[in-house]
Parts: sequence; structure tokens; C-alpha cells
Amino acid sequence: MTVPLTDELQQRFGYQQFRPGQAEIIAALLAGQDAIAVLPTGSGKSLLYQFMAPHLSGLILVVSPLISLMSDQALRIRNAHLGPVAVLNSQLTPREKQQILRQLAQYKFLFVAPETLQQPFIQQAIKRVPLALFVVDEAHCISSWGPDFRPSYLLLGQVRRQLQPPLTLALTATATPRVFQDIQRELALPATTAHYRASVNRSNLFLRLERITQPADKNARLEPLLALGVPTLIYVATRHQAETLTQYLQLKTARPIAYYHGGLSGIERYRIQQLFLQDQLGIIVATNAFGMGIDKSNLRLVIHYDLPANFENYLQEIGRAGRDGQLALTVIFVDELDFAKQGQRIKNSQLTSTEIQNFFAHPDDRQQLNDGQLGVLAAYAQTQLPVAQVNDILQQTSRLRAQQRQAFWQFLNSKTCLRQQLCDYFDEQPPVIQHDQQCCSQSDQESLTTLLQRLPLVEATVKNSSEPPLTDLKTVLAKLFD
Amino acid sequence: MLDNQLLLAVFATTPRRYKAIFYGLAGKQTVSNLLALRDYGLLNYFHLYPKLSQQEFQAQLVSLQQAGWLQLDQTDATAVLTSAGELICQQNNLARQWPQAYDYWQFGDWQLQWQRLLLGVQVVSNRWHQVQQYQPLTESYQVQRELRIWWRYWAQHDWQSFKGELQTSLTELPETAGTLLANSFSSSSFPGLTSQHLAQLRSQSLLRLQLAQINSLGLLLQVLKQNPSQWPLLNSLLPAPKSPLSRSAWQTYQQVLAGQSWSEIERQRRIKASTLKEHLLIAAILMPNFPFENATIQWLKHEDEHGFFANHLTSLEKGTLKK
Repeated sequence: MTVPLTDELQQRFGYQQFRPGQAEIIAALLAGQDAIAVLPTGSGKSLLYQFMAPHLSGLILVVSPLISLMSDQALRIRNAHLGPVAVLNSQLTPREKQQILRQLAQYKFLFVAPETLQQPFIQQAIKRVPLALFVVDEAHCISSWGPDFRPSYLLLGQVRRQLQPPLTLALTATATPRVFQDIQRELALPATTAHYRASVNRSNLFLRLERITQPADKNARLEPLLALGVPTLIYVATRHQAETLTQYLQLKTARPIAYYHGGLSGIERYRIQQLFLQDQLGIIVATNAFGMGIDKSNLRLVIHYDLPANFENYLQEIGRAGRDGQLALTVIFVDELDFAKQGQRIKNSQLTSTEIQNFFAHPDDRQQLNDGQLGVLAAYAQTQLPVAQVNDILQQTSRLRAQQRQAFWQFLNSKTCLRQQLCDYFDEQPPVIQHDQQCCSQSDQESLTTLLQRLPLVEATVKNSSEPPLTDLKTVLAKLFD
Repeated sequence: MLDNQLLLAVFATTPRRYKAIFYGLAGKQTVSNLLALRDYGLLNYFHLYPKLSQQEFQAQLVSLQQAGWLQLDQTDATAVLTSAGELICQQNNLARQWPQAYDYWQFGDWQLQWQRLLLGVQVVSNRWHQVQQYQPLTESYQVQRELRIWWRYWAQHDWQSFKGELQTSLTELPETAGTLLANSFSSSSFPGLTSQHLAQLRSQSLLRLQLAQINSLGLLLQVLKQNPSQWPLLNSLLPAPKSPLSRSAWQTYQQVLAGQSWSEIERQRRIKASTLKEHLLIAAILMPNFPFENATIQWLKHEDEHGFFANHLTSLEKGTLKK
């Protein structure tokens, strides 16, 4: 079976062979089985449904949580001429949505946001065309155990029952056994569902843990790391921190640097991504808004300047390094003060039962809630779940988050192999890691200087001089059009 | 993030309703907000900051009060500049930092115009360099669709003239404005600069940079609209709204201009009378040469002499006469 599939892969996509898990999932889908694929970020999850296009007669409906992710995937499909593609999300006016829905039969792929898919007229339009495959991308959003839990994903099981697709494919990069079970249960997938779960172990990532005891330690340790001159991504906890750390680093390094967070305009985020991808920017200081859909293969260094919220975020974020398969370094700064601050932030964003009930009774009353809390409640309001259920979910999620945070803190304070622990936490059948010099280390076992001397990080051609000055009008126009 | 000093420039030494200013900046169109903005001389800045958060706005007001620059009256929901605040405004020339050249009612949503301009430049430049596969600068479906239509319409055109139009129109702007716009462009052959970098080079905050970009865009649109036939490609890329009124308000206004009676309008439109009156008040605020003497308008005014409509219309009429 896999031989002709590989031929097709070469002919249609130009790849010599499948990545682990791809052939198994495609074979299951071709045999008419539903499937769940847990494959690492950048391992070709979207190829699974792209590959299926000529094998299926009817629409491939892809539910995706982010507008940028949908646009990115749709663009790739268009560029590769894989079939007519449309995107439906909240950015469209009702008229534009109607226009797409009227011509739905002409499309092979339809990307839709989960919130948009709840609208009855959209479901009705989809029912009028033959549906071949229902794809749930970033399926971990369905589980309150998952790090990016989205209330609107909870209704996808119901949508699936309504649409009755002949085939369903759930995709995610991050799923603990618990999240995996939730995906299967919430989507009501049958027991015969095929699945492939890749190990989270990526041997080309060196995991480093830096214990911080004084506030000045972090910036002192950044210096030798940034002096490596390799493409670098620094994760911080807040937008404010992203901006202030960037300002500080601009004084310390001549390397082009920018900050990135959800408060920037779409055009600015696009420009930063592009400059980073083209190695015109060497360092990005980002919140977790820098993530899904951004694929820079030669990212050599990921630093967690602040603690990520949990294991899942940590795994996803370090997973952006070394996608080209070459050695990459990931460093996490572990500071008890940060842990305490993070706890305070979580406490501040928690919602009490009274606040939840008041919101549902009087949605226009802000009740001293911040924009983040209002955003969460508005997302639940859109699902039209009863207030008691929303309350239960929010209280349960809050308890889960506390447990997960504690488990992550335990990991950060352990002395055993970090990679082994990561596999033990995420993998269904964790491999036994042969810990060696290329695996992981902690600051109390080996100094950062020693580590950097012995680690053969590949040199990248990054622009390391300072950024260019303003260009005069005539020169800009000449560069644009001559 | 709001730059709190800048916010001082929308207040004065007489009390102003800060909620009306917030809703105006955020683009919430009600008669009451528009009247307030008009009285404060801020009508141009309507919809300048559609993503403005009320929480952030309130926090900035409180910090301005703490700095001793603004005095808040929570009961009346008004704010007034203190003499220290007035001094800061004058010393830092804060009003000049706002995009005075950009008029929402004349040019429409600045974000749309900005995306059209940048995407248009990207598309033509990439085409010039025969780059076919690239990520468009904006994810906006509306702007991408408009660009496709624009592209098809001008498909047979000599794209060198697009460069010519850009060059001549940008050269007509003050040099700093032209250079700022040019450095905001981006394509595969010219990566451009991030806003962060541009702000750094100009030694200003990101918000001030953005306001300067909007102002430069306003200056460009003024040049283009003065003589549309000189810049056909750019004028069709950056179309001005046909009217400052919404489609429904425009229709009501046209019915009045056509001499229809109030009962006819009500019967035909099947919209609440209060909404129709609101349309006319908005037209009185935004349309030059609003016909205060029109028979239907006069009839409405006398029908409820002391009502909301009559009161506001009278004050608008007086304001117009004063001018």
C-alpha cells in the first residue's frame, strides 16, 4: 500500500518519503477509517488532508482556530494548485459569506472558524453539498486539559453529528493521553478510529535549564546566548515585558531585534515574521502570540526568559527550534519569583461563580472585569451553553490549570533527565532516553559558558549588523519597481 | 497602547464628556457622540482608534488625573484640562501630533485605506519582479478581494505608470511624509522597516508614529482627490466613500431632498420613526448645505417642538449660521 502512496507523494508534492505517521494515517483514511493524528509541529499534518483531495469526491471541511492559520493553509493550497479553496471566518461580511456559500460546490477545501461553523445557515449550506472529510485542526483545543482550550470547540461533536461526514480527521501537535481521550470522546469518534501518536522526543533539541537566583542573572545569561549570533526567539510572559526587554537589548546588542505580541497590527506582525524568516531580523522577543502558523526552519535558539504557563506551552514553544533537523538549543530560565508572579496573574484572571452568573444575567455590565476575562465570558456566551455548565467548566479548568502548573514546576525543579521527563509526561509509551552530552543539562551541573563552547550550533547567515536607516523616496521606488 | 500625554490634546479647559470622546475614537456612531465630537472640534478623529479598550482609556484618564493634568468629574462623566495640563499641551504641541490631515468622513476608515495602499504596492512590486508566490501583507478578505478586482480592471495597464503615479504624488507631500510612507512599503524586493524600527529612527512612540502615518496617508489622499484624473491607478486603489452617511441614512436624506412627506417616508421605509429622525440629525451634522428650511424637516421640527429632534436641529442650525 505504501509504495504507490510514496509515488504519489513524489509526483504531487515533490517529497521523497513520508514523515513518520503520515503514511499510516493516509492509509487508514483511504480505507474509510476515521483518524486522530498527534504529530509534532512542522511534521506535515496539513499534508494529510491535502493528500486526500483527489481520492475523495466532495468537500474537505477544515475547522481551524486562528484566522492567520487558515489564511496560511489556504495560501499554501492555492500556491500548490491542490484545488479551489475558500475561507469562512468572522472577518467576512454576511454578504461575502453568502457569496462563498452559494458557490460552495465549486470548492474542494473550506476552512472555517469553529464559531462560524455554529451558525445554522452555514451548516445548512454545507449540508447541501457532498461532504467528504471533516478535519479538526488543533484538536487539543477541544479538551479542557489542553493548553489552548476553546469553548467553541466543545460544540464540534454536535456539529459532526449534524453534518454526518463520511470521514473525520483530528489533528494536533500536543496531546497527553488525557487530551487524546477527550478528543475522541468529544468528537464522538468510534472505537475503530485509527490513531498515530508520535513521540515528543526530538533528538536535535538540546534542553537547558538555567536556575535564576538574582534578578540580574537573567540579563547576564542572555549576553553569551545572544552573542552566538544565531536566529533567536525569546519568550516572555507579557506584552509589556516584550517591549521593555527589547528596549533593553537594543542597547546591549547591535543585532536587529523586534518584539512581537497580539497587540501589534496584522501588517506589523506580518512584516516582523517576514523579516525574521528572511534572516533580516536576528532576535524576536515574543509572547505566546508568536506561534501557530509560523515556520522558520533554521531557528537555532529558543529562550524562555519567563516561565511558560505549562508543560504543553513549553513543548510547543521549544518545538519551533531546529525544524531543519540541525542541532538547536532551548534554554529556560527558572526563577521562583516568576513562579509566584505567574500565580498572581492567574489568580487575577480567575472568574468567580458570581461574576460568571452576573455576566450572563447582564452582559453589558463590565463589573470590574478586565478585557481578558470579558473575552473568555464572551466566548462562552457565543456557545449558548447554560450558565451552570459554563460555571462548572470554568471552575474545573481552573483546577486543572493549577495541577498542570504544579506538575510543570516539579519538572523544572527535578534533577533527572529533562528529556525523559518530557517523554514520560506526553508519550503513551515513552521511550527510554539514553542520556548523553547532546541531551540536556542544568546550570548547577555545567556552566553555560562550558555548554556553549562544546555545543556545535550551526552558523546561520543572519544579518547581525544594526538595522538600516530610512531610505529616501527615490531609492525605495527604485527597489520596488526597477 | 495609548500614549497618555497625547490624550490630553482631545480635552480642553472647558468640561468635555469623556465617554463621548471614547466612543467617537472607537467609531460608535450615535447622534449624541457625533454632536459632542463636533462641538469639541474632533469630528475628523471619529473611528481613529477602533480597537481602543474602554478599560485602557479609563486607566489613562486616571493616570492623567494623578499627574495633575486632567480633572475628572465622575458624576457628570466629564474631564477638564488643568492649567498644568494646558501647559503640557502647548509646550509639546500635542494637537499637532494628531492626524489633522485625515478626515474620516471624506476618506473613510484609515485602516482600510492603509491596507489597500500597502497591498497595492506589494502586488505591483512583486509582479514587477515576477514573484508569484508570496503572503499578502493583509489578511483582510475585503481588501484582498478589492485588490483582485482592481488588478483585473487595470490588467492591461503599463505598470510603470503606477510607479510614476506613486512618485509624483508622494513628491507633492512634505518630504518627511513622503519618506515615511515610502519606508512603510514592503515587497519581496524591498523588505521595508518594522514600525518599531521606524519609531526608533524618528525617536517617537509607536502610537505617535502611527498617527504620523495616518496623517501622511491623509495628505496623500488630499493630493489624489484634488486632481483624480492625474492619478487614475492610485485613485481607484484608494476610493473615497460616496457619502459620509450610511446607506440607510443616505436613503432617508435623499427622500427628504426629493420632497417626500414624512408619512410617505415612514410608510416606504418601515423603520422606526426615531431611527429615521436620527438619520436626518446625522445628515445635519455631516452633510454640508443641509437644507434646514426643507418642508419635511420644518414639519418634523414643529411636530414636537421641544423634543430631542427639534432641540438638536435648532442648535445645529444656529451653529451653521454662526459659521
